[in-house]
Amino acid sequence: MKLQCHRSSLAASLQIVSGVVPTRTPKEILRNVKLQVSDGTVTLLATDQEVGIRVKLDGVETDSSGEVLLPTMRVSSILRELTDDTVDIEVSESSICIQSASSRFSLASEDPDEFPDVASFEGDQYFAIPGAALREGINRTVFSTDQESTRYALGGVLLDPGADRITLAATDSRRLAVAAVPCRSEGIEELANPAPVVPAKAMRLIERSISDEDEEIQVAINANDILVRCGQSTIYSRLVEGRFPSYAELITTDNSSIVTVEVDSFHSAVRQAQIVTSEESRGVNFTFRQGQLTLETVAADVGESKIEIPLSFDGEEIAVSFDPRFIIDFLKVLKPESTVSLHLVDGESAAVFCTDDGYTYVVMPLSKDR
Amino acid sequence: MILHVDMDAFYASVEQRDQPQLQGQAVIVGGTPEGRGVVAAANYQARKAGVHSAMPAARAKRLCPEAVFLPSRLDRYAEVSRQIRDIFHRYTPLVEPLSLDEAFLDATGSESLFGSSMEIGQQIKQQIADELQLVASVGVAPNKFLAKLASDLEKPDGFVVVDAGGVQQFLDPLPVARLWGVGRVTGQVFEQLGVETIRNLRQLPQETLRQHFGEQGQHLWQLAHGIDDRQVVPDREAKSVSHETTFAQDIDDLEALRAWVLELTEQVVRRLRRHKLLGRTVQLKVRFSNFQTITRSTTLPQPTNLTQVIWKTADRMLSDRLPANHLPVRLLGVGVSGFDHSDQVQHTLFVDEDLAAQTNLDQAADQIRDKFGSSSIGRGSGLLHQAKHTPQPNPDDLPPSPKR
Repeated sequence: MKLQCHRSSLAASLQIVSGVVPTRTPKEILRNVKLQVSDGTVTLLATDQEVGIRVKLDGVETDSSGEVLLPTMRVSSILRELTDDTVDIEVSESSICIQSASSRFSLASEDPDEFPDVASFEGDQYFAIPGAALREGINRTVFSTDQESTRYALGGVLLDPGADRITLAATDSRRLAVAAVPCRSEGIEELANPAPVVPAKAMRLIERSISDEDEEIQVAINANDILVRCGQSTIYSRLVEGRFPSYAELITTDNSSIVTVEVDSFHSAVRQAQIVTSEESRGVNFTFRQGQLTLETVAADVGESKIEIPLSFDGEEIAVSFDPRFIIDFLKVLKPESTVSLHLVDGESAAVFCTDDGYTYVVMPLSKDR
Repeated sequence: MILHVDMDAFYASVEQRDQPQLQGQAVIVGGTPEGRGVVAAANYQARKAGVHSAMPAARAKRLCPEAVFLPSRLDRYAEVSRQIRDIFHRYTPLVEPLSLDEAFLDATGSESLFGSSMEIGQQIKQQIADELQLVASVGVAPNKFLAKLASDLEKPDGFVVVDAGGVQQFLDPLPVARLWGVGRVTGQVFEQLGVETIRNLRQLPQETLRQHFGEQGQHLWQLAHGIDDRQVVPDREAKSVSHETTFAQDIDDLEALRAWVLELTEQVVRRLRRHKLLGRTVQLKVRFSNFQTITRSTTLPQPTNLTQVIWKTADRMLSDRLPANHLPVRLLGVGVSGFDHSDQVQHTLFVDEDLAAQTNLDQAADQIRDKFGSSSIGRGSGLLHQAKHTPQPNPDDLPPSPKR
């Protein structure tokens, strides 16, 4: 099998695909990426058997067909180091030869038949979602997942399909992020799985695979897995087992006072306060009073900080302590010039943060009662 | 100088002191007279009959039919242990408990107040006898390794001082098996090399040791020369809790190793819970048959001491993060570090029913074990391969000490 590839586009595709390649696996063969050529179409495939991806390659000239396993790390490095516009790849019985104008690499290769298959996007029942909205929705939720939880559903993002939108929700039990994205249902009569939970790794991969924000992303949800087509990529993922918490019940704004803050100055104040925290004293004390928000920290053996920002608020004073990392995670994904409404009750209750465009974030406070 | 204070037949002695009618009798703690359970401790009279801890009670009963069997009362032993610790603290704040009945002390800084370390050792031994009517064996030596050997040398009621000039004289005649880390397999290698005593070992070239034992060879060489620079670190500053075990025979069956990971985890989490510690980092240590040793660690988002969480984390590292086609495993260790000393509690949005259930499960299991002994209840997965004997706490771990 012989191919001539456009080096930088092959490198770019390989980089997307290698996001799936497991760095630690007892199954060595999964460290490879499979290159498949049939009917003039060239595809790269990778899988960790939980999540898989296939990416169609452009800029390849070939008359042959067949398959080969590329050792991911070495081939990526070669493509990165070379400067030529094109590279030639020639595959023989058990080795791959990569050649440019002045360099030649010959690599041993494993048997492509041993490589597990990656499902392709088939069927005509799916949700269609604008790329830009899906990317934003993923960025606004995926950070709240908990990979290490024994409750596996918390390691993924819930997709909650509605009539014309899908709500994305993620929680690690200390905070909850909920964002909705518009969608169009194509040919779906009945949902195969009304509450699919997609592993965080797959969500991040989908986000990275959205190359053109204007393109439409197709999401097909099956009982136990999900297939997503974005541009040249198809992503397959097994769904996470287990029940996701009833997230809507966790968002309550009863009896709360509302404070509106500007993202940029609030973010800056929290980052400043975080400087003087430690593992032992990681909380930042927020005091909302008329006309002013004060952030204070006291960390044993480290020091203290006090940051004040003006605030348009005229309710009763509220004092509450948060882990600043949780606040920063949220503010980081917002536009600096936008504003956020904080719904606060007291130092023991959940705080609900809302944006104008329907993004909701709930954080539980820290308290001293140890 | 370092002191090692080790109580003689601690549990049994506490029982005999509390119940004077037991004086002069063979006493076995743990297990029942009907021969159920496992011996937790035996006094010297029972030991003379061949009874030792971890022996099935039925066997102990056969060896020593006249023995009085008592249920173990860990709460009581812990209370007495605190009284002993209070005596230690009269002399130095540098007290590192290894278990309820033994501790290292560094009294160097108190010598101008209370006399030499040897005198301090004598006073401690005397006060334990006077105030608590219990007998301790004490070793006084330039470092921890030697102090522990010294306290054991003339047990019971021993008092052995090794001074800096007498280290080699003290070590040389001892059998090589006295060295920490010399088990059956290492012992066999020594046998082939014709090494019987520490003197023989000391005379081997360092290179030979490295060839046979890898990194650990260097360590053995140091011990044979009486070198050990670990500090005495008070318990409250403990940086990690870990247990490890060297197998009688190398294991390459993953299921057996998984059962062992569970067993080791159980040991670690019980200690965490006893000290009310929550840890964030779980570490797995694996030594292969060629003595190559690797460690893998995972940091959890929330500090914990739940058996289930720590076991799953260690188990995942065992399954996913060892090299493919690795050699059989000689030693396995599980540890937890990154303790949470936070003064604040993070509230949660919802009760994690699973975690709540696991917390209850652990509490109930701990209570059962406190009452009926550590082998009285266990998880099915741990029974799969009779992962039964008790791995030792890693003497290394409480302090953030140099590698040994």
